[in-house]
Amino acid sequence: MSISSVCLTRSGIARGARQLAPLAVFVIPFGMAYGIAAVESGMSSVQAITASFLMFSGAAQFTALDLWGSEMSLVALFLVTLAVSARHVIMGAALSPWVNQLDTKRQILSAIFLSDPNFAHTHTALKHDERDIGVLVGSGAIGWAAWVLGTAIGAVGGAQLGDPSVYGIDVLMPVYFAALIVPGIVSSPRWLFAAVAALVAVVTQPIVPTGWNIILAAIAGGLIGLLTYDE
Amino acid sequence: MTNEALSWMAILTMAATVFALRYSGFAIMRHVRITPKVELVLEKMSVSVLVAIVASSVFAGGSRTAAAVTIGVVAMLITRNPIVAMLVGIAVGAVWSGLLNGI
Repeated sequence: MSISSVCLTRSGIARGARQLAPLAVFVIPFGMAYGIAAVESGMSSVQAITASFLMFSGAAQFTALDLWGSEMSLVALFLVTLAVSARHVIMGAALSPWVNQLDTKRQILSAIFLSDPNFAHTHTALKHDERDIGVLVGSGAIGWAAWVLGTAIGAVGGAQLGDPSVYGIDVLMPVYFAALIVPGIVSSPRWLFAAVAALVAVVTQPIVPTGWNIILAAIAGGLIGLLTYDE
Repeated sequence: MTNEALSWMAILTMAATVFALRYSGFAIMRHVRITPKVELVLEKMSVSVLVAIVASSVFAGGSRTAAAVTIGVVAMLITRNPIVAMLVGIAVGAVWSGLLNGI
């Protein structure tokens, strides 16, 4: 693939933020749920907000709450974070043909807000001739702001949200990711990798520790892609 | 170590881990030549991550999540707009829960 004229501009950041603003709105209640759960698990409000501010990882933060307390092991927390967030390595590698054309400072900026939704959004856009990595940064930053804001409301206000499934927002992420990937998969004759990845993720989910089923599925999908590759 | 100090250590440890993982994909690939084969594997692996997240959620969430995802995908194929698909999926989830609650 020859990728020319990759850039990271303020207008790209603004565009990315605008594009994912409708999704970010729905991230606020998730942040609130985290803020409430974090305080219930024994974190102070300042700690909960700082965790969201520094980590911006719903999956890792919620999983860590299960281990939280005076007896918690830093090694266990590290391993859980590693397992849940290891997929970011794959996402970073997939974006690297574009991002690695930028200088180190801009690469770091691109990494700061890397998460599932802005990866899915930007990777799709880059395949459709987007060349501004600002879209990755902006679409990540708006989600981060919503996550931190939601956490603050939940941790300080402690407002009872009730069950998020009543509003349907619990299905937000799977629906959004499916919407982004399915058109690409059905338009290609090579959908076998996706079927295998889905199967591996589901079959291994009850067996392996949280997060590793996603990594196993990615490895399986990559292998199938390689095996069905024509020179 | 006090509980307070331990909590801060935990937050900083996790934050450093998450950032290192976010950055390492770029760093590792600086040492790999992007051939068409490498590009293909990266593409399939990264899409597989998203496929796996969806599959795990549907598996855990059951028929309600499956319905929301399926109807959301249909909305995507018609409108080609993932935000519309997301809103449709959320509506399906809400209506499903509403029906169960006898509304």
